[in-house]
Amino acid sequence: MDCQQAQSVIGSWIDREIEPGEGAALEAHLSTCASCHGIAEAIRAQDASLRRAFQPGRERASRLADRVVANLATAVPLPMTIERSRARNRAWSSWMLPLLTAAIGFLLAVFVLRPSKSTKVTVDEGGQPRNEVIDATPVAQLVMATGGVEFSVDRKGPWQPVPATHFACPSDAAIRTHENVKCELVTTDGCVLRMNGQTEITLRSPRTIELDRGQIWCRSPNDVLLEVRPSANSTRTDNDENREPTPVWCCTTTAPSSLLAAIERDGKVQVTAAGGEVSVATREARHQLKRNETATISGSRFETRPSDDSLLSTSWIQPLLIGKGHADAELSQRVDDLLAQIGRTKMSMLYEDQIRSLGEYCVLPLVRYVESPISLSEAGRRQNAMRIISDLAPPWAVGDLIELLRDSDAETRVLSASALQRLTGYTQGCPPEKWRAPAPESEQAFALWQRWWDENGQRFPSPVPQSPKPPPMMKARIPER
Amino acid sequence: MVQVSSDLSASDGELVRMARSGQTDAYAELVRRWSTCVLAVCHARVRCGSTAEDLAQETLLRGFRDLGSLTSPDKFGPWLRAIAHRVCLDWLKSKQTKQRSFTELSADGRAENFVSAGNDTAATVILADELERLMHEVQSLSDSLCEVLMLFYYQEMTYRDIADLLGISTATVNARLTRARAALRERLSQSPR
Repeated sequence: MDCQQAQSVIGSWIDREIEPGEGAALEAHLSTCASCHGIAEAIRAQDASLRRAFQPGRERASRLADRVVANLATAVPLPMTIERSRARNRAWSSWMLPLLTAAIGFLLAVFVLRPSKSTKVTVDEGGQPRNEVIDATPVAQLVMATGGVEFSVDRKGPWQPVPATHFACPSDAAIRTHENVKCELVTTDGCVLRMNGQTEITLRSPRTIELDRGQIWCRSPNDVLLEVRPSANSTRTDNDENREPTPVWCCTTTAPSSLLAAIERDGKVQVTAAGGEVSVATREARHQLKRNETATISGSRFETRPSDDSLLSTSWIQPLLIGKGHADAELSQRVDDLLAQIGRTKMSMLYEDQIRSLGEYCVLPLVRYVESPISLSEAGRRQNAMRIISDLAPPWAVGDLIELLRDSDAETRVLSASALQRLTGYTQGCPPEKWRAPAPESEQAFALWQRWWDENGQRFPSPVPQSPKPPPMMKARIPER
Repeated sequence: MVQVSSDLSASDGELVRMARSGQTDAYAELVRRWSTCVLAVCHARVRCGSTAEDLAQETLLRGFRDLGSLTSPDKFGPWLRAIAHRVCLDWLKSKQTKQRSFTELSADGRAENFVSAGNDTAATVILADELERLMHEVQSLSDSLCEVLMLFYYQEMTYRDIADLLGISTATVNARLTRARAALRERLSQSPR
């Protein structure tokens, strides 16, 4: 046996898979060839490492088997097997098969080419039956989930785990989330639907959602009338059990707007207009919810109130936004809104010298506060914040300061220009005081600032640290007693 | 929960026939026999352990659902492997469309998967780092080498079993394993520590 032959079977020798005659020849070769002996030792060490490297995988496989076996109880095998049908049909299959194939082909063609829409009798928001067109084609796709999601077609079949690869939700399918699991679906009409944990819905159409239990957030794009209503399971008629369950509420939103809807454990329904206006109809009347207004529906009672902190009430959707990555625009907007609230709290709870003592760490929340709509109705507080920003803004704030040159408030423009002059040494031909009144110079100067920023922006740091290193933390100061 | 009461010595073909006649526990036994192999096939295809786990689960459930279409019950393994390939192919095609793994697991091959509770923390971390690099290189092998290596080390299948599953000879299995090991040795000796 030469070295080439030996090296081709060393692996199988270590794996104890070598042919009986070759083992002795290889061992004889290894005892005389230092090079092949070295290779054998290297493969043996590598084999041990590979076995160790695959240990977590083997443990995962064991858990996988348990999970699949647990799911078999709800999985449905196809009822007819080819083998059984073959045994039954063997005698006449020789002449019947071509005929059957043609018939199946015809039936398939009829099935595939038939109109995909069917009608179904439902009950409208006023309690009147109506024929509704139900789309049999997929109505939504699951785009993200933080854990197990299950679905049931027509609620007649068992609940099945949503496949990990691709899930196109058919119309009339029910979807439910487990505890602490959130998921997001996008309907074929472009409506975004997010489900909180322990929530169950039925998707009647790309723009009709029936809520069984739990909490959903949904947003409709332009020109889409999104309708959210309770499912037949969540409402019960009080007097006549044979009567069709009637929706007690129904909310619609013409967009772009978003709403939060929840059925609480005691049966109360809460609807919040999270963005834009939402129309809520009950048996008694139709109501219009303004942005950040919440309606509580309980029996025949309908009460509205300003909604709680919208960031807090929708905080459960954050894992879904974080899952989309740091560059996600919606996540960035939430972070900015949160910073704006922090900035507002600073301005309302602390004295100015206390805020200034924070140095540049106070600037980002204050900038976001000034940029946020929540500061527009608080002119005095906003100007105070802008003064602090103007004095303390570090270089990363240059981009925001340039944007603030277009602010509707004259004092804000002057203070921004002043900070820009301090940080860059430039005025672009328009000194700070000239920003007080809108003038041709300021318009020209703004265009120059934008061009300057396009050319020089990359030299300035980002307000968000790009490195994984966290920013320095403020230590809590415990007052001396 | 499905109770396993089927004969553990029954062949795959017998278990398939029992499962088709409504004995779900027979398919449960098939799942236990083949889950590791299916996971290995999926891992070799998608090169990510956590995604492979989701895809393997779907493969096994799809196998149960489609059991009626299996023409040769004794060829259950190769048939399941073909399903796994289709499932993985679908996933790879849809990968561009923001699909995410639903199983919340850390990315496969991370050091924490390999760190064991040893006393010497530094040595343990170094070993974990080496195993992580090794797994990374395994996942960089070509499809055919990666699949054979994964089948061998995930389930410690014999050359004969791997050959039957893949429809190749045992000599080819040996040749692929030899090439895979040589490629790994070469890459690990070149990659910076």
